[in-house]
Amino acid sequence: VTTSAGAKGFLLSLGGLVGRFEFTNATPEFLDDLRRRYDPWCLPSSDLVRQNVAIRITLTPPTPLDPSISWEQRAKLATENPVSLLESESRIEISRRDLSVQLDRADKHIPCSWSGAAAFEMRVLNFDALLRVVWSVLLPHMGGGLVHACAVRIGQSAVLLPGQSGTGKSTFAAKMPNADDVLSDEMTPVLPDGRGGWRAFSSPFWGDFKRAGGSLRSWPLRAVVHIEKGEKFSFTRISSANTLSQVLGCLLCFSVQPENTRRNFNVAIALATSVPAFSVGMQLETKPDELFVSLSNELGSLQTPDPLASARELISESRWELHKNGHHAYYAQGGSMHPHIRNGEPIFVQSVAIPELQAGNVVLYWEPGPSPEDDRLICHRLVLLEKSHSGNDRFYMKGDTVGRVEEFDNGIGAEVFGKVTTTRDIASPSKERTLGQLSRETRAREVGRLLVSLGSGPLSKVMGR
Amino acid sequence: MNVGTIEGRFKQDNGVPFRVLGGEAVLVDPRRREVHRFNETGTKIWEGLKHPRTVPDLIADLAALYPEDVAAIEAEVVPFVSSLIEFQLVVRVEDET
Repeated sequence: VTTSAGAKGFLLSLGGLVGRFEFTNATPEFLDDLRRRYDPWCLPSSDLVRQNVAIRITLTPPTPLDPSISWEQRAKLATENPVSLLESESRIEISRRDLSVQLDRADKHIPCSWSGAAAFEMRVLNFDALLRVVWSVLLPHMGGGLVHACAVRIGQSAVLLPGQSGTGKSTFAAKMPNADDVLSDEMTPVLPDGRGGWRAFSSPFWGDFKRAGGSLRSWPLRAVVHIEKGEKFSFTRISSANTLSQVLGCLLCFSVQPENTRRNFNVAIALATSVPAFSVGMQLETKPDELFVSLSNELGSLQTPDPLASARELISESRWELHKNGHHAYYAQGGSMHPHIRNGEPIFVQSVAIPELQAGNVVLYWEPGPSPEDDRLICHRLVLLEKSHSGNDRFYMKGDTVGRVEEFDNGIGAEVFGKVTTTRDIASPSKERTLGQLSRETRAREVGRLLVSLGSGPLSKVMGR
Repeated sequence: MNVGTIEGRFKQDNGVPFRVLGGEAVLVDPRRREVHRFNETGTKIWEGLKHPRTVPDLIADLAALYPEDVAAIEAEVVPFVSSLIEFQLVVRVEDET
């Protein structure tokens, strides 16, 4: 029930930038592959969502790989034919041996607003390459960048570990006790938070770790750590100049144009001068905890609550919890479902297959708004479900105390999360045990973080903001 | 190597962005896609090259700042400036006379 990708395109939120991608000639298998890889970063494909880039992609059938060419030769070929990037005030042209993109500025009044076309052979890795290159170009327009770095979450903070291939990024990621705390082991988008700090985002760009974060959530960036292979664990603060040179070596930049170089340079300077950096000597057996304890001693608690996550990020994270556990708990807010659901009472959402839903069920769904702060979770009663063979079933929803019926195609106007249960729905002793189990399994930090809008208006989404 | 091997006046290439942080200069060479970081002495030389300077000028500048004798300073400055020329981080300035 959490599929966002439409039949021929989808909306991705990556590193704080939203991109719409529409495909020509895509096979269902290709779209399924894309959906599997990018689903955590997909938004419901609503036209309401403000986009930073829109690309129409023409796909050509993939030419079979020549078995006589080794992977080493392929890598050499790629090195000999690097990305060519030409950028002006109004146009961006990217070309590689197997990829071409042309973007024109769409709205001069928005800091980053582009639209255009691309073409490549129908391979998921080609789409991944397009995302990496386009995001490495666009993020600096917002003051951020795409860093060749592993990023992990510790408590409520992120730590960035930049480094070229072979420096131990994936090894460190693999040692994290909880894989969900790895934002990426390969490429991490970073952006200034507008308050003098930075945020590190999860990304679908992974290396040998073979997976990355399960939601589009970002975390406050508290430290940059340079891993060095050492005889024993060591932990040293390094100078801003050292950090700057290390970050520059890992900031993705395909342009050789002076203006772009200066822009990227300024991004690296801003990062190096505002986030503390450390050099850490590690052995293969060094546990991440040793690093985290040293960081906490130096920086103070890494558990400081994060007040800046957008509603969109929190909803996306909640979707990941549902995906993993099959259920999630919330506190409801509003009166549109009164008396069935009362303002402030806990509700439980269970992930269910769409065919299991029927008229009368109370359903939780994600309705995106223009900006990440405008997104909301809505809990209303299903009035009618029109099943579709194309995959986008049509939902008609209504609040019990509201006259208006809302309608949307699942995955397009909104995205259905699951079926809602209240404490009063659970009457029998056996069901009470189920409720207790649900409560225990739901991490305390998650409960109460998201509010469910039970009204028909855009009610508040996040507590304590 | 001695001063006589590097003749003429040199200045920073304006196409090479740099920033001095904590007394250390970090440069980006977009043509070669390289990053350079200079220590304190290298940074002093680099900052001296903001305006056209000869190698003897640079040595005299450093001699005024550090207690080392001129021969020791020359032994540092000449190879450093050679590297700057080799990496095309500085440009030769034509004699105005």
